[in-house]
Amino acid sequence: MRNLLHANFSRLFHSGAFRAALAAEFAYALFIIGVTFYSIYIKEGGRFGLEEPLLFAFGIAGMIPVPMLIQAPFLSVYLGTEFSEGTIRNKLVTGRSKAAVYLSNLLACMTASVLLAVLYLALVGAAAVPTGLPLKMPAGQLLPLACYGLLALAASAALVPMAAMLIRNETKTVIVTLSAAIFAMFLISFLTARLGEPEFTAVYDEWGRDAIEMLPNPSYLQPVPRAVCRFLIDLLPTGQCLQISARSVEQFWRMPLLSLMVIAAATGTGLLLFRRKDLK
Amino acid sequence: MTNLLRANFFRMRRDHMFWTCFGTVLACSTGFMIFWCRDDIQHGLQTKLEQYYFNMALPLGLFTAMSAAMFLNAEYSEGTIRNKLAVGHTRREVYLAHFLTVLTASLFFVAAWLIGGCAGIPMVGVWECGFQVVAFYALIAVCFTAAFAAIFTFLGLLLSGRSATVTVVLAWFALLLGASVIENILSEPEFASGIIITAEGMQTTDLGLNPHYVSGALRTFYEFLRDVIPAGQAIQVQSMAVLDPLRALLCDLGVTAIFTLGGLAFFERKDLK
Repeated sequence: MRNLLHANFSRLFHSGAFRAALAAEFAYALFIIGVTFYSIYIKEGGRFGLEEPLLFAFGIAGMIPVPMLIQAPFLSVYLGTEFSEGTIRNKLVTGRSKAAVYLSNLLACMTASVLLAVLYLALVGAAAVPTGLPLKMPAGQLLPLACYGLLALAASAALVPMAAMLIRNETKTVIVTLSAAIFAMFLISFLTARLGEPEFTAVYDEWGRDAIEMLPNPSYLQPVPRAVCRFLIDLLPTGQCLQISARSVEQFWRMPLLSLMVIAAATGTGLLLFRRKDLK
Repeated sequence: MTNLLRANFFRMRRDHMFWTCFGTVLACSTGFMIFWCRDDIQHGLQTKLEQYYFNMALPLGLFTAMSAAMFLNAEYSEGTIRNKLAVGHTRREVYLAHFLTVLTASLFFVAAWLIGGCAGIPMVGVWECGFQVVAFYALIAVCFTAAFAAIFTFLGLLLSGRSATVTVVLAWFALLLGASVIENILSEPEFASGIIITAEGMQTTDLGLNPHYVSGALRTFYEFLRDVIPAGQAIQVQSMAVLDPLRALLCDLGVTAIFTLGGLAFFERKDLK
């Protein structure tokens, strides 16, 4: 297992896809640093806290899951090479078990995903801390939030080897994982909008000044569908990352548990599929 | 050219990604239409078919991108392009045949969306705005889809390999983001009124000029830019608010022509190894 991990990390650090992902993450961090500096020195005078640019490591203001958009194609290409160039067959020929090969790939993917986020946090932290931007969120709250975000990113990375097992074609895996990240973003935004529907809507007088009546909003979600929507948002790693980036986490304890569940389910399914896979 | 097209269509008919995208568009269009209409009927709301009919206009580009990326990538990775050139077809014919194939695939997705949306007819009746209005918006959808097809063929054929696949899908996303930003800028109201919550309830102050409102030449520029980006037109079709239909159609024509002619010129010089 140690040799497999060593080989995987060696290939990871030499892979062009990883360098492209590093460049993309670097560009994203520079963009956020630029926007932060613009907001502090030119526009608003920095009315936001330091945690805001830091938590953008997991998405832009609860809207765009940038890390997912970077890691989905990169990890698909990284794993695709493993399949298309016969590396997996070589590993099995040298006596490694299928489970060890799958788990080493999984660990490499999860580590790469976390490393990219850590790179962002280091860059933005190093640039934003000297500006004197105050931390408006207690450090005891920010640290677990960042850790949950990293765990959600790892959970998202754990889905890629499973997708690679299911799809078995490198190009298709790239397209499907990238499209899934975009689809998840739209789904989360739709579900969040549904959850945000008010229970009552006001009817105003003819001058539009005073509310004369409150009517029940037909779009307001009843308790059961509301709980299902909330659970879906918390379950999807994209949903967790977007909540963290918007600092709108409601149930702290649930997120790491769900991330671990996603990792366990994806690994179990992937291992099962890989055991049955005909490697020709 | 006819042989090239026949070969491409033959491959397209057997392409799993094409059929998956086609099925997804059809299923989403039908499913969402039924869901929205049923939801409105259950809540006793007056619903028109056109209210939801154009909602699928926005994600159409993603399916075109996915299908084009897969189709064009296989062309390179399996050496098909070299074979086509080796048997005597010109690069121009090969490029045009690919563009026409991607365009045909995307028109199938448009058809799937329009057919799937009709699932709402038994529930809320036909379009109240009239068939001409629907045909007009469908025409704009066909034109911006052609512009998308031209952009994706350009990227997919000029950037070979895995990078092309990622670039084509991300290009759609980038176009959508750009169009959304422009749409946000343009949707700022000209006048804004302040709302004050007092002990006597909510009160509005007098109307004042909104400092974020964009006017004059800059507004015309943004509107033009929104029409140039196919995703900007998709947003307008989705909300059934195409500001200048003639300009939109001309922009589609221009984008399609520029990307196709540019693609032809660059493809002539591309090293196909």
